[in-house]
Amino acid sequence: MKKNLLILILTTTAVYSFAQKDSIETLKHKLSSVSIDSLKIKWTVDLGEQYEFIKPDSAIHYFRLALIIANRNNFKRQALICNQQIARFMWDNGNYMEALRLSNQTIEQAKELKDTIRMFYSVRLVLWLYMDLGSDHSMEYADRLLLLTNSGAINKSPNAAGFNEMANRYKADIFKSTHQDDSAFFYYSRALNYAKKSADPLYLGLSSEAIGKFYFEQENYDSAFYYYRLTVPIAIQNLRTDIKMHTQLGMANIFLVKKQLDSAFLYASTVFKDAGSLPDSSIMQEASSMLSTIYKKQGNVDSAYKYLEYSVTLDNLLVDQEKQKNVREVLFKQTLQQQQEEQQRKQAEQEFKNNIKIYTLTGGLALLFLVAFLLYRNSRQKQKDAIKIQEAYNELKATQSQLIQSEKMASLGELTAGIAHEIQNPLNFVNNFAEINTELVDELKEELSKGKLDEAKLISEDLKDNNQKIAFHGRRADSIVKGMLQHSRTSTGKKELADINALADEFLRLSYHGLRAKDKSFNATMETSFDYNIDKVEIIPQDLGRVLLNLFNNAFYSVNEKKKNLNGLYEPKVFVSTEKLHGKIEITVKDNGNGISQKIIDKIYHPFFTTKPTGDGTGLGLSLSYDIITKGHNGELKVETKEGEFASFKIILPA
Amino acid sequence: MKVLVVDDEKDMKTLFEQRFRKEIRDGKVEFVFAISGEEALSYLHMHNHEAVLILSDINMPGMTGLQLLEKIKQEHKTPPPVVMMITAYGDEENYNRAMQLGADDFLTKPLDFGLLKEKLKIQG
Repeated sequence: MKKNLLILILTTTAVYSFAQKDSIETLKHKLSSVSIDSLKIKWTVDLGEQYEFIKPDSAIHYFRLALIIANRNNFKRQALICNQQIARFMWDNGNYMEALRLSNQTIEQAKELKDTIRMFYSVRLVLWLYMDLGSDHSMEYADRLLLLTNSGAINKSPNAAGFNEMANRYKADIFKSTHQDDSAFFYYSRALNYAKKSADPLYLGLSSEAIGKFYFEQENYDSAFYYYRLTVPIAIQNLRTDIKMHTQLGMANIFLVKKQLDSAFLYASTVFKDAGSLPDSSIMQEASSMLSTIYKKQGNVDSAYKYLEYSVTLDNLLVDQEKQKNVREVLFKQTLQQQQEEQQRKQAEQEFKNNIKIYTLTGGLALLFLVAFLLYRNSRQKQKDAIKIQEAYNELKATQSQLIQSEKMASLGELTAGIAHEIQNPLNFVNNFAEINTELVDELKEELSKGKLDEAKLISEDLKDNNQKIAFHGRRADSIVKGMLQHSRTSTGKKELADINALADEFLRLSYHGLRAKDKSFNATMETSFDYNIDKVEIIPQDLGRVLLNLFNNAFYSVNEKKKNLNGLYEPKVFVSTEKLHGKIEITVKDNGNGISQKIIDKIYHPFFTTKPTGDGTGLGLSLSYDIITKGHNGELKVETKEGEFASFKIILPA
Repeated sequence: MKVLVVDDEKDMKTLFEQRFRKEIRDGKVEFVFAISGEEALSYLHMHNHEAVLILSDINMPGMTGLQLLEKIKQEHKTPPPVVMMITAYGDEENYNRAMQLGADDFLTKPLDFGLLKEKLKIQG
């Protein structure tokens, strides 16, 4: 009886994931070149699963390997999965102690991780253990599984139907084992309904097999056969040769009962031939026994004897294994009992300890209040210190950022690569639209020769639009190259003494009038605040002028954009000031426009980075400016901003 | 099949619509366009499982194509949409990073639509 139960359970195990699985070759190939640990763990576990039913020794090796990697990285969830696989393997091999210990451990781990789905698998393994032992606890765990299927995580998972199928089927199996057939049938039907709802046909296979066996035991052979037939193709598709063979044996049995010997022979011999590939020799034993019976009925005595010999040898082997298992089972039950008694004793002790704890706690709390009050007085001083530290840290980070940025800008070669990439975008359009247009011309000719003038007109409209896009993107590529050439000329400029205030004023008006020429509706207030105590400074006038022009252009652009969106009482304002401070000259350009978002503030000095629509800006302005100030003039370029309110750029030059 | 194209260049929409006009007319393919990674993600959240293929640029302001790729492969697993990167950045570093994050293919600009159509046929 126990042996049948074992077979039953083996045949009702479902794989953990119902996604399509890679083959062993594919997995090994993937593993040979992977370096990311989380992928390594996943594939190693997958590999173990592939070996589970055909080569268990390899399987456990892979599961243990995966566990080591998971623990090394402190990947708790992956470690949990590996432990579950190892626990299951233990159970497969009759090592109940280890299996139960590990399973309970994984239940705790799943609770910690609040992972209901992993919890399901852990509880399920304990259920299988108890079912194997014929223990009364099995129903309790089956009910726990049903309860888990109501949880949010499982209900919303893609495999919700699968989980429900399993929980109901296990409950049905327990009822069947205690001969409560009506209840068994009720739960098998529910399981079947869920199986049909599942996207994974494996569950349908598992349900059909279970129901087939149920009907067989009730001697309802036609229904049993119907369900067995459903099971086989699904088992084959999911590479579950073990299920396939058990089912085929079942079908052979039915034919035997119905005295259709040829059909019975066909199935039994197929199974016998393939059964060598399974680690479990009970299938081969059953197949041999059946073949022997068939041969005897056909009057073929020699063959009957041969297979009877096989059958007996295998049976002896199995009986030995069974005996060992029985001994282990008994030991296991004893240990369980002892553990329960120990637990009860510990509980009583714990209660006593708890009482003592409560009294000590209340006393401690009073003390704590006193200490807390004293600490609060101290903390206020510490807060002031903390703010100072935070400010210093922020400055450090900003300096770091700028340092990194200036290193990035180090070589022209780097920029050339960037140029090449940037041009690919407009080139993409130029090439492709040009090709499209050639095709369109052919279509145009066709339509004309058919006399379809309206169609022809539509096509020529498309032709025109495309050509405009080609011209637009061509110009864009041109301006990118020009911008790049400008950049390459920067470092060869000569320094001369110049009046910073005059320079700033000149370029401010230049920028303003330049923008008004492009956009008549553009308007903004300009404010200046110059420090007339500043002497002439040594600079490269064209370069610094270009920087100022860029900053002013950006400022005017920003306030213009804000005005377009706001209107009403918004007054666009751009402000420039110069000041001599701590032996350095500071030029500030501030606007009350849209500001810069924190998400992109690290990118503003990157070449080709722009928030303007395509074609409106090359994205080189700020990166050029940064280079000119830091490399060309040994200065600093800083930005202060609040999104939606203002942006302020500060140029700091050595005097 | 439904294809989501993510690129900050607005002309990509016109380009695709013209390059695939026969296929679109015959109902063999349908295109949806997003001009940022964020927009693409909103689309995917609202229309789960509709776009089976995603073509994305890498270099975009805000969320980059690689960040988008990572999010898609993490959040949309069953079934996972096929994601191909289309980018001007054809260097090894970007290629390796994209493959590591699970990109299904990698194409460089200027786009060879003949090649792209071949690859799409394989995806079926």
